Amino acid sequence: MNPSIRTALIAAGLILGGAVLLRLWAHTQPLASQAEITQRGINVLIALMVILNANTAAKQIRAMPRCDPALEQAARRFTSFALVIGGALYALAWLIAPLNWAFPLSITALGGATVAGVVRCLTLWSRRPA
Amino acid sequence: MNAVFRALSDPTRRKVLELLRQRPMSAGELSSHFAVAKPTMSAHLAVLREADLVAADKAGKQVIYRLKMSVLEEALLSFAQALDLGLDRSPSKPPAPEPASS
Repeated sequence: MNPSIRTALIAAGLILGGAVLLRLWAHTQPLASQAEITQRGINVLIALMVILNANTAAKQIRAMPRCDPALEQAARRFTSFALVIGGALYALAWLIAPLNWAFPLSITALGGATVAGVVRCLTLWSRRPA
Repeated sequence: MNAVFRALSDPTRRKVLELLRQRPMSAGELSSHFAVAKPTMSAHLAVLREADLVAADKAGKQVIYRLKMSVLEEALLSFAQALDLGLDRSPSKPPAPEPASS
């Protein structure tokens, strides 16, 4: 089997398995906190997927003939770093913040990282050699 | 992961990665920053390639080396640089040199 397909299937299995385990564990908790545990757990899983993907994004090398290699590398590294940090803050928000604060904090963290990445790419694009 | 730690344990290879952080470079450009023989430099680059920390692309007669590090690997590199971690304290002790490829 193609290694990338195998990796994708393993990742999908881990997400689904994690969600099922989380659901089962939540059922052992008091009824009032079940929904909160599930919501927090699912969002932490989402954050972990963002972190894992962003971590390896800088490793995905594809020659882009129309891009300056130095600028392309800088953009890729910055975006990866920003998304890993954004993903970590997203997870942290869902782990420790009060539930009504977790959503705005996590969206601000990940959204901020995405915007920072886009701005950095545009800045580098404007500096490309003619 | 063992290969990554082994690659990062040597100061010369860490310096190569530092240089590649700026931009992709040819083997000749990289060699010009070090006072080591070409086969020794090739051996260092082979260790980095084996650890999947750099990628080598052929461009005409030159081989261009590009950084190929995940965020975690870059963090490990920065950590090793900051603490000057070196399992191998001698300046350059790569494995058996291979014939220069570029």
